[in-house]
Amino acid sequence: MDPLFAPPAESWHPVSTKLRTLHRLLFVVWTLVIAIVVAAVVALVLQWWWLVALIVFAATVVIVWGWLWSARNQAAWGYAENAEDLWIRHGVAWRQIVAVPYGRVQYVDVAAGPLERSYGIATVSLHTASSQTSAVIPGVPADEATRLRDRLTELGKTRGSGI
Amino acid sequence: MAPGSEQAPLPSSGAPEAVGERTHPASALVRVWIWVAAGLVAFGRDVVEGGESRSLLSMLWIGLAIVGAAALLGVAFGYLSWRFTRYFIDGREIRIERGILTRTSRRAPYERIQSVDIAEPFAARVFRLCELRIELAGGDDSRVSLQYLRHSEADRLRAILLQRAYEAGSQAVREFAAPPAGSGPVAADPTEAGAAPVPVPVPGAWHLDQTPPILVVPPTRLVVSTVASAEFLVPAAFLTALVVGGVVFPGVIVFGVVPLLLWAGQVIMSRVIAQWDFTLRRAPTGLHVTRGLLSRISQTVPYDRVQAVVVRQAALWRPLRLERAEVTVAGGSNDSDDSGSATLVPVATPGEVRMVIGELFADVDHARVPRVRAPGRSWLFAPVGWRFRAAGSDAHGFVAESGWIMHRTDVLPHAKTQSVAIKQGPLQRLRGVADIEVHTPDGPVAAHARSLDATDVRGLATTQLALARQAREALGEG
Repeated sequence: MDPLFAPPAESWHPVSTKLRTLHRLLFVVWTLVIAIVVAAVVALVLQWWWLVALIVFAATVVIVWGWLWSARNQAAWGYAENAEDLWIRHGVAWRQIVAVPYGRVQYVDVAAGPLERSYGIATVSLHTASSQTSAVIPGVPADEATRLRDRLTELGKTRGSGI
Repeated sequence: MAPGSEQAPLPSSGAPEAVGERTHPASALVRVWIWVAAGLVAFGRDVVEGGESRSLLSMLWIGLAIVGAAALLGVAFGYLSWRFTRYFIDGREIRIERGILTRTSRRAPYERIQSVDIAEPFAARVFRLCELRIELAGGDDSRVSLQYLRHSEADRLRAILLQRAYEAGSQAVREFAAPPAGSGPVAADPTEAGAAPVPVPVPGAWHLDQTPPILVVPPTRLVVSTVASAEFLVPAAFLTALVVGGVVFPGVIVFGVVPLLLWAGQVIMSRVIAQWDFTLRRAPTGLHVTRGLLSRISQTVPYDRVQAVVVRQAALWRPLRLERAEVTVAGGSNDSDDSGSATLVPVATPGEVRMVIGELFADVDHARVPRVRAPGRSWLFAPVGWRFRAAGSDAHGFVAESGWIMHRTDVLPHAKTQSVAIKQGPLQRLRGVADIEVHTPDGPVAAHARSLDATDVRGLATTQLALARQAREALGEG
């Protein structure tokens, strides 16, 4: 593994593989919806069958790519709870690590939309006094998300210092 | 209109001894110019819309009548609002009551006072009056102002309020007892025994204008540096081009000249007029700034809320050895009242800028912080600029440098680190470089260093987190 993105402790804590499933579902559904609508319009109005074939081909490519991307993207997400700070890494091509000291966490959000809820996962986001801090962890299992929020809030209180 | 008709719905039982005091009577006249201006506008519209049928003389009379009526209205309104404005100073707070029909009452409890400043808007300066501005902690509506007072009166009130705020335990004012400024690298003024930190300040110590300034920006330097800045040279160059072009094609000129003149004028306004006679002094709560030619502005850069500083140097300023500095202040949401309120130093020599930064952050000297420079292989991402990219930290602060034409050095003390980020794109990975960012609250500062060596970046980030922790712990204990 690239030493630049090596975990601060022994290993990165991965996010749920349900994030992968969710992304795949979204990719397939949206690509199919758009492709079917466009293809239907082309078939009925223009009747350019070669264009319909092209659309079907493009949709297949997008779905295959999205299928693979979802797996890579899910695998790239990770977080690590250090003694003093929370590290979050993500990204496949454009990689990024954000490290937030516990004492700097102002509040923690746990958000889960209807789809996320049905998969039992949530998005945890950390906020500091700086809006440049983009510390978001998607695809955290719901009970783990609650644990993380409680722990971070607790640590933020005990190690917290003014701005 | 009679004072008796003032049906105060306020708890009158709370203030049996306080009858309240009035602002200076001439306050009634300060805002009359707005009414006169409105009258002139109304008259102007009248002339434009249907003036041709009337004779010049009658038009003059109409104009005089409109402007005169507006001025009279202004005076009447000013008198009434002066008449109904009173302020009360009691054991717990200063309260300002105003309003002719709907009475409003603003209160400033002493323990919430952050700073008390004296401002001189141009219109008030004409009448030799000034405005007392009280900044309160917390809330959106955190400024209370008293319009307008004589200077001696404002000075007296300011001293009283600061003294009471100190006694009421206002955290911000209390810090004066041991200002971080005292440990700064300036050795010039321990001789000023009167201004030296004392455990319990006497009222006289609040008289700011008697403390010696730590930095004065001479007007000539202000003018020279503005003329040599891109902000001025760009509109000036366009203007010259337009005038030259106008000689060849007359008629084009008018459309272009007006906005360009406005642009240049705005630059001169904000860079020269607004920063005129810029003076920096040590004050109880922070560094006190007085500046401005038309309107004298006085504001405080509070020690405890300053997060980070950015030092900027345009290419043209390099041979002149001049720099400017801006600050990020936490919770500086109501800084929008005038341009350039984030300015810490409009223009000064590098040595002076270092001295001022030392005043804000004890022991932080950005010039001495060892830096890691961007490696030669990062030229791909900034063909010229890579030579100017660097980052580093010492025991006290973090520094990030970048920029070729507009060079910037972002400086922050470790304790102000909010979070740290490492970023790397695919091309950067091929070259073995990465970005490091140290996040601070929103403001002009962005401590980012692009395309440094990847190993250095990881090391810097880890070190930064450790140093930030130590600094926070030291702060918590101290």
